[in-house]
Amino acid sequence: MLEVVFRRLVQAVGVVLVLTVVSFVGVFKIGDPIALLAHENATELEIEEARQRLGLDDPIHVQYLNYLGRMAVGDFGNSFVSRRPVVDVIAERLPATIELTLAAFLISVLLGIPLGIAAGLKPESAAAQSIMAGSIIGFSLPTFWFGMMLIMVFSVSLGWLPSIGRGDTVELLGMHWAILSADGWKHLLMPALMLSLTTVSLIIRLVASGMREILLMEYVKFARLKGLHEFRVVMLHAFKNVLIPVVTVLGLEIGSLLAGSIVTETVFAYPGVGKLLIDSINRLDRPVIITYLTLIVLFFVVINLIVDLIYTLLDPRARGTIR
Amino acid sequence: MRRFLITAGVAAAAALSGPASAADLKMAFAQAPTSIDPHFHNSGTNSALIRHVFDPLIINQNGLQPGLATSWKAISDTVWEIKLREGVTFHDGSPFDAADVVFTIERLPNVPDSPSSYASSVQPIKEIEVVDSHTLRFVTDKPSPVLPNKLAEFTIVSDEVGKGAATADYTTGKAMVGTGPYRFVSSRASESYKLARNESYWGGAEPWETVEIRIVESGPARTAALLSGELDLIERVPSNDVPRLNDNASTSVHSGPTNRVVFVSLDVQRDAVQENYARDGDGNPLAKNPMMDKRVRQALSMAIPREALIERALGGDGVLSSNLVPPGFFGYNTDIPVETYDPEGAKKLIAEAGYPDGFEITFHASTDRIAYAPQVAQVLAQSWTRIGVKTSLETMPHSVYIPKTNAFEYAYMLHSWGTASDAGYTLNGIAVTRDKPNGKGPSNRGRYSNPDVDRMIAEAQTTLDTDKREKLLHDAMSITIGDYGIIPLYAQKASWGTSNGTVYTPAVDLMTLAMRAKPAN
Repeated sequence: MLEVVFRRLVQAVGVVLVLTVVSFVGVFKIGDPIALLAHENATELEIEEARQRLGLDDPIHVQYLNYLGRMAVGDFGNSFVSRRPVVDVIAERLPATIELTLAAFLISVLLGIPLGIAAGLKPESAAAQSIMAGSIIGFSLPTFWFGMMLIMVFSVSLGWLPSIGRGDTVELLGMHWAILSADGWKHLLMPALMLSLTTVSLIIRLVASGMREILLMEYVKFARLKGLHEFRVVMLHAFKNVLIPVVTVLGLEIGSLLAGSIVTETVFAYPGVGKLLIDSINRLDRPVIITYLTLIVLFFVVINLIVDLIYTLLDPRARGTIR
Repeated sequence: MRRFLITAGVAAAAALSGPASAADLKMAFAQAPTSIDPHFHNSGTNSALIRHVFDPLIINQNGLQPGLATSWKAISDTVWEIKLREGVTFHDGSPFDAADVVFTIERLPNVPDSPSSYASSVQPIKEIEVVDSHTLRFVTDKPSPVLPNKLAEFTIVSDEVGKGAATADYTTGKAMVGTGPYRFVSSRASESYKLARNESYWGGAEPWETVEIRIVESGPARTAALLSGELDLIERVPSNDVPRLNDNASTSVHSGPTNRVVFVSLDVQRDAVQENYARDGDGNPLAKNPMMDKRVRQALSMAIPREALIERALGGDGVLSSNLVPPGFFGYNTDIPVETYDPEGAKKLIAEAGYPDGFEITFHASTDRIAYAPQVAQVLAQSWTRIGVKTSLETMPHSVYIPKTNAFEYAYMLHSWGTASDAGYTLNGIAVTRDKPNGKGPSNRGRYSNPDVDRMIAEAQTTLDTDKREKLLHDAMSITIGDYGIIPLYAQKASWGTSNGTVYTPAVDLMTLAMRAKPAN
């Protein structure tokens, strides 16, 4: 168990190293951040001074090694643009994205699984047919468009929900959380719905087809023959086995929710890290880009680890096979 | 359950859609300020935010207006005397005087870590004489007619609060103590900034009790938030939303000209063709850069249907401009005619220049800085293709584009320039022979060069006599336009959207200021 965790961490360090090289060289290739930041009438002297202040006058490999050296002792540097520590800049935005991703994840699970079970149990019924048709529409709609439609209906026409921003926040553990205020929830609902659209549809289809397949298995028939209550047959015997692929997919989906949050945050002017990444790329703010990507890599590693561990709980056969 | 949902919905609707109190203004910027330290980063969005809290000495709006300075005059060739406004206090109650101005001018070039400082605004000032608490004399090396314009570029901080204050102290709000019409209340970086009226503002208290500035980068999201009543004022209305906001009973659009001219920049320095950006019909680079021939450049200008371009590509959001500064700016030469659309004449010129079968070029543009840039570039490409200069387009984000154009990697480009003061500022920025160490032609991206223009601009920059200076600028503009190295297309217009409770007066500097918004009635 410890060995698995350790091996994963070593892999993560390797990935982070590769990633820093790629993003460092990539941003360097795009061009000089000062060219973007400088005022259009700036003199050469002003530009040169600014370049020195940001440490951009060194050769690229020196800049890289310096950066790596500082990163090794936990200093991720300052944003080129605001000159604030990158860690502060990201910490300020992180709660918003965590809330958004978790809310979308919860919606996916709480809507996707029950609807999927319902559709899988009686596939011929009208309700099941409409659930499945709905999931196809959910798949096919561009989320961007769906978000705009939510805004048109619930903000512009009905005036029920706010269309931009994050609302009031409450400070806890040095970070600002919107889910602790009613206003924050109002702001969160539509972005979370938009973000979860594809995942909900995916989970519905996965659970429904898994259910249909497993309900035909011998052991389910046997459980029914034993005279067990239908609820017990479905939830305990069938559903537990449906869950195994669902957990894998959900784990992966957290990642795509996090990535998808970039679009959602743009549509709803929601101040999360996704929007920060886009802004930073547009301004060639290298320290922020690299720190964000590093964070995401670590995040993925942890998620995959958790998924594997949950696997062993659900499926005894998986124990001992995880590397 | 359903009844509960409806009840909850109605309650939420009542809570949210109730008309905001007339005394509160909620407005949106399309871009986040990078810092609220007034001297940290010289950029348009930062200036707009800062201007609510801090005042400049001189306000550049419909000409130069008194700000914290009540008068300015050149008492000799190299000395400007500035009288400061009496009885002004900072938000913390301390009085404003000459010491604050001196402190500010000393801070401007020395803000640690600044990615782009305001050093150039005070660069002509060699020495400051404090005559009394409300009179200053700025001594310059050479006569500096544009100094008052430069004094309009930055805002004044308090020396008591500012001493020892770092950029971080402004970020937290601690040092956000100005003389401006609004007091700083709180901010969440890149999300929202809250301000409250300065009741004892020297220019009279503003109509809005509180102002909240939100950052909404996506155009459709700004429109939706205005339609839903969450915002009272938005900047940069997407062009396809203008009719909708105009037709809507509760919103309207206010458009006005800006200080920005969009132009084509051609490589007129290199004899050889850069990469294969100019080719024959078989795709091989031409032996010579065709733009070195003035007839070709003139033909490209004649081939552009400017009126149709403004009408179709910009949805009317532009003004014809024959100069590189918009009409009405100091130095705009009304004798220069707008180029007449003449594709037949253009074809003839191309043939005379030795290209009877035409040639092919690659034209570069960025997509996210100039409004409608992709559409404008397409119109250009089609117009030029029509006269036999088959044009292919390469567009990219501004972050990729600008470093490459700085390095002179492209040859034929779309650019724009905002005129902060007068035609001298503009021509020095984009038309004077590039000499970056001396701050000449820093954004001359096609390397246009004419010694006459250089001489006239250098002379204008040290000529105090207004008429003489205007004549020099008119002549320099005339020569530049006649050389066709830089081809003006149009001056941009910009649009603001408001709810019906609000009226907005646009200004050419593109800044969105609460001071320019008034409650209707």
